[in-house]
Amino acid sequence: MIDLQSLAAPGNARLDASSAEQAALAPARKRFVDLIVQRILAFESFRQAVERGDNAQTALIEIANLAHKISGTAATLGFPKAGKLAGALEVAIHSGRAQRHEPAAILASVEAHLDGLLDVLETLLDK
Amino acid sequence: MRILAVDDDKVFLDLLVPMLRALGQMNVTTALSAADALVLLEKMSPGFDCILLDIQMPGMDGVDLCRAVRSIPDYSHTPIVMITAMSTRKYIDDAFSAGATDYVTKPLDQVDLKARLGMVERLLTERQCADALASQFDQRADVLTQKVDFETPFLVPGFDRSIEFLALENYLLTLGKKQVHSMSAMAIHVRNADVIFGAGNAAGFVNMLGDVASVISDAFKMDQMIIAYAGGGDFIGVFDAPPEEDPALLEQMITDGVNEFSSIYAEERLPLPQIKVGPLVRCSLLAALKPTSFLHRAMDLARVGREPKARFWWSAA
Repeated sequence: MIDLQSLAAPGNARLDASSAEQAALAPARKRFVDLIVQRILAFESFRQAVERGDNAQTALIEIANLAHKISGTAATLGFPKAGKLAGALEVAIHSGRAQRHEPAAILASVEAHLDGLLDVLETLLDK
Repeated sequence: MRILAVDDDKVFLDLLVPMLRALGQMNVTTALSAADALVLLEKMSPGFDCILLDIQMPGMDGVDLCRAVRSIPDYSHTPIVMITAMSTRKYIDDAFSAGATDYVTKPLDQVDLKARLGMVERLLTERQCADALASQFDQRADVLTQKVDFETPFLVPGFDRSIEFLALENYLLTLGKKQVHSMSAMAIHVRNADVIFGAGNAAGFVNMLGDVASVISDAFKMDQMIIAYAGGGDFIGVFDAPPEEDPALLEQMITDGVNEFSSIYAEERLPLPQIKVGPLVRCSLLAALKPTSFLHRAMDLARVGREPKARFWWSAA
């Protein structure tokens, strides 16, 4: 069995450095997790706005912006799956907009990405 | 280094600041918008040595902010590193065209960040030299007190359409081989640059480069090329679409333009710059080299009588 105590001993400089880096990122990680509920609610709100046709273009861009923020930080904070899904969602929305598709059609095409991301974010709340 | 980091995402700034601190960068100021950043740039004294910008921000985005920063005289040469999740060609082109020095994609990696900051620190040293040159050039000094290294690349004062050689290399490295393989490079070499440099008048050398640069601007369609001064009397241009004129014609056009300065050079007892335009060089996909290597090949070919530093797969277009 690996002795975790010995790995964390002062002589293990590599582990110390890594631990220090992780500790330094703890406030950012906490802020990320604290924002999850707010972001999930925002995603749902913008999704409904697109479905209703209520400022659909703006709502769709907001979904892409939220995904952009998550994709830019999640992997560095130790949540690579959320980062990857958010990145894929953002790219898919920009691609749909570049092809001048209607917001509702774009939303329909990225539904699986969005649901997958929301599921992963919810699991992070349990950690 | 005094660093300004601009990003509308507080979470990102919360992770960036400790990453910078872990690299020994303790003097970091943050801004959550372009407007806040511009206020800080105006009021902070001493100013910032390096600026890190996100691209996608509400209101003024990072590319427009980069352009706005470049228009502030005190920040016209300050290293600007874009840190962004946007990795498509359009964003990369826009960022470097707006004056970015380097481009890093999120998610951020500590090793990558360390390498980029190391580049910034080296650049700052070179920039101090370039700023001093520009300042003295503006004052039309006859003798520059700043030491000019013959082989060192710098921004030629007054050559507004050029970017730094290091930024040009960073641009190609950011694009990567897949996107660079369709691009071409052409070098314009001042054959007697070393003679003019050796004449002992640094101001004369810098003025000569400015003269050649202005003639290059007239000869090429500048909106279709990115150009930098690479040191050693070499200008290097990079093209998406090759220029219509062949190198011999371009060489004649630039030579004719330079000849119009003949009376000034006679008065200053300096030889007229002798121009050599090298062939168009395209990097082959087969070349197992980094995407910047074709620049050096183009410069080698433009230098008369100089053998290439290395022999690899190349294709001359």
